[in-house]
Amino acid sequence: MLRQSCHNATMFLRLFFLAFSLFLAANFSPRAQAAVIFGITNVWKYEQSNNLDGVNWKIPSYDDSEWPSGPALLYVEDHTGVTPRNTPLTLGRTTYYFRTQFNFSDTNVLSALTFSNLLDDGAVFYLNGVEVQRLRMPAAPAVITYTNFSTSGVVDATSYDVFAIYGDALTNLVVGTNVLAVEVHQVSSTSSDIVFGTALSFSNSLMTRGPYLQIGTPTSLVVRWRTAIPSNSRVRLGTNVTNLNLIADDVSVTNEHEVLVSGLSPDTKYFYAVGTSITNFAGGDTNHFFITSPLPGTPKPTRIWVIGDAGRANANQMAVRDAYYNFTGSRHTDLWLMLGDNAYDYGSDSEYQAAVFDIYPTLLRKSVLWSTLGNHETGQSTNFNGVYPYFAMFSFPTNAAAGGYPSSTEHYYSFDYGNIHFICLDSMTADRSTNGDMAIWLQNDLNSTMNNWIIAFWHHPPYTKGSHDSDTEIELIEMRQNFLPILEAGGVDLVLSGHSHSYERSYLLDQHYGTTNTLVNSMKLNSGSGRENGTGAYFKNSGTQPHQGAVYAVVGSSGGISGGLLNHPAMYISLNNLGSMVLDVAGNRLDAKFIRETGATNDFFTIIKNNITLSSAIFSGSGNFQFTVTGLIPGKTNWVQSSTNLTNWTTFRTNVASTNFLNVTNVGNTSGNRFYRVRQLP
Amino acid sequence: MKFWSRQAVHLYFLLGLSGFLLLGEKVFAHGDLHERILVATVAIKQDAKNPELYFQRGELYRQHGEWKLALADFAQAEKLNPKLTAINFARGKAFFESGQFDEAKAALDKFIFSEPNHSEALALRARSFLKLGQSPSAVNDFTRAIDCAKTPSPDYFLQRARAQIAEGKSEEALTGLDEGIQKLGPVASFQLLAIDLEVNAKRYDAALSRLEKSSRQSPRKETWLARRGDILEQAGRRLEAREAFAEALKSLKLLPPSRRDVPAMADLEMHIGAALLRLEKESNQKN
Repeated sequence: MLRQSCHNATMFLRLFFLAFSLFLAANFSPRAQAAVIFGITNVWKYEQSNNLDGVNWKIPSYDDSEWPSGPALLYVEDHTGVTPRNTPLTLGRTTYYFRTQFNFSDTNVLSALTFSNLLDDGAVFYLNGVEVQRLRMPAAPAVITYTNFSTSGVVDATSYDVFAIYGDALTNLVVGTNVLAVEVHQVSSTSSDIVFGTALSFSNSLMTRGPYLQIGTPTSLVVRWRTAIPSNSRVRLGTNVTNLNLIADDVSVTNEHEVLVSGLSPDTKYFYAVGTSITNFAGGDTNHFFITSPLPGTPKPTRIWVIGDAGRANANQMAVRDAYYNFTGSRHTDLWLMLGDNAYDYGSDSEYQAAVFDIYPTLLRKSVLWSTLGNHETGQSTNFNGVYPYFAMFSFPTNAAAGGYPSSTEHYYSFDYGNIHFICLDSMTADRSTNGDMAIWLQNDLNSTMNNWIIAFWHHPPYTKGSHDSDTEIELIEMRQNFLPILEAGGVDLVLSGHSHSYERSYLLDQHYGTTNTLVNSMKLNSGSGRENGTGAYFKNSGTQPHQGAVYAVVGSSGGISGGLLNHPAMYISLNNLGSMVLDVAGNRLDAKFIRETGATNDFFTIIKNNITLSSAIFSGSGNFQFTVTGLIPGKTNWVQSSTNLTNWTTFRTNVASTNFLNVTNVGNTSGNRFYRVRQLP
Repeated sequence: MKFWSRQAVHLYFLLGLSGFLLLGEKVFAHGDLHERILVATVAIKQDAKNPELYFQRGELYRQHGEWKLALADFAQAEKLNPKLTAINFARGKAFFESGQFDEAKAALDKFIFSEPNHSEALALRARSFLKLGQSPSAVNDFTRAIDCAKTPSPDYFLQRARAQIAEGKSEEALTGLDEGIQKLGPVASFQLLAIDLEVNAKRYDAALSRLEKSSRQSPRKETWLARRGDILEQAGRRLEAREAFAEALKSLKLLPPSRRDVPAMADLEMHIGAALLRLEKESNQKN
């Protein structure tokens, strides 16, 4: 009975997921599909007795009823590796002619016909009388006749010659009966063999992945996409959607297209299209654009979307996505971060297709994606040297192409966006020791940056009591013990991670490197909410001074939730809710929100960097002068002090508060040098 | 009450088992380690002769730092299937992580005997050798790990070089670091160690050349310029050293206050100031 119940439960769940997958495929997934029209053993009419020069044997109306027929392979060949040999031919001809028919019901769904051929030696292919391809034959416009030999020979037809036709070459494909005609040529009059057979298939989309954007910099960007058919690669782009006057090419023929577009202007919107040197596959419209990064150090209001552990390819993931899409509306997402476990369970290519490329196509094509490695990207392997699909799919800077210091590896890297410096670490496979390469690189990287904000991200959270425990799991412990001291000394502002399938967000913390029971109040530099309508924003000094405090957030519920105790004392808030994080960085202000799948904002906080400045003194006569204090923080009390020796300071104003701008007039003795400062009280 | 308790137990069991059946081999799929261990335990109860399940639960115990339980599961898995060679690698990891380096080496010996080109296992055995104070063997294993990996971890090169330096084989360490640079690119940790080695060998020009390459990659120059000053001073090229330190100081002063007023930069400024003072005094004494 119990076994039956288990079986039923399992069957139910299996059926549920199968039904759900079909629902997804039908409703959400623009996956490319391919179908066989005929296989390699297709039956062909053949002519091996006559020279058909001057005879229009290629057109559909040609009467081939007198030709013999047989299934492919049609052959004279004694090599046993050439299979399946079905219909013997006779040697002695320079050219052999073949015809077959096939039906096609809907040309609207077609994007490409793929020909997979076993062929010895050369051939010319005609579709409904129109030439579509030559293989190992003199190139067009050379006229091919019976006496033409193949330009090169095939020793034995043991491997397939594959080509595809698409675009204009398909215009003469018709609904109903089509005729494919092929003439096969020997390489010489003494050739001892001839082989012919073709399998034909169609696909409904040339683009099977992307386009998606990588390694965005102020002047360059990598555009990637995948096609069903190998081709060269071209990106056409321009600042006017009707005039894509710039091109970037890669001449290599591939299905995995990766084109570096360079020579761009910073902070500029470009429309683009992707395709080959002769045609576009996608884009060329207002939905395909990107905006280059601003120059390093240049503040720009920046929107960042952060998701973690999202890769379930399920309704939860889509609900989180849609909630963000609704939230951001027409506000462009400048960049987005994936915190690992982007595609369950093993991070395989097909899992990535389902959980990333099919889920976020609209964002992928206009906002640069940056990611870190999770335990599901490696199938739980901790081997740094492992060959993981993740690294084949994504491009990350190893040579500081987007700023920072070169890491020489895609496992960990950094990049700049305006006045924000981002650091991505590998908590899964890299050496996490303090004298390992990642730690040494991090130190160099922090010493290199000039940016005002530092945001670091990796997969395993330093503080969590969600579905993982940062007190007991080695990756989490080592990242906390070994990397937080480096980052905090370098002035990190925000640390993002996933792994626990929850949302957990800390106070403004500093120097908490031990287990939960070692947290003391002094490590909470601000134990408030960080909310301006609550206990106030978290304030830090301008720039990236060390140990000013950082906020640690676990954003691991963008695809599922799995509970946990959720009581880590470093956290201001812990939620077992689906959602994602939205960051808005503008000048000296960072606003973060946790957007639930329902659209509700269940947490938010603000970090503000003080930027108090004193203007030069302006004399107003009678020994009085005036200067301006700017950048004061509302709600804080500030003293204005003066000194003649930079050691002894006299406070002469104690009520500088509430406003960001204040004029202060000194009525004191102005003989000799006098120095002024503003002191903010805690 | 009793009825509902039993129902609850059954329900929990059903959910656990259903989850496991659905996951199949994916006991490693996400979730809290405790829950995953529980799922594996339920699976073992259903299929107590399955060595894979013990192996998987052992790995979970290992990840959770429960070494004894992990090793017990590995032993059971091995008993059920003595041909499961991966057990010795997992056992090697468990021994290493629990500080039992002799045992780790012994387990890895067995694994590497059956998988001689497993770079990760070779590197782990190399680390075990290091812990056991057997640097030459460590160097040998790191070299094999590097050779067997398509893109070796930079840490293999770094740890091998440190082992070689500990053995007094600085030239071999330098050669190895250059091999790493050739394979992986201008890795910062390689160049910094190589610079130290060049300086120790009094090959100052070579050190400066490496420094120049590293410096070129950094938007900020003050640290590199100060290091250049240090090397030049050690080389006895005091005039050039002064210029380098002065340039470093200038570069430092150009930083915005938020960057300059940090301990690392304050330390650097003191270091530069002391060096300039020292060089100035020496110059005055000569004059």
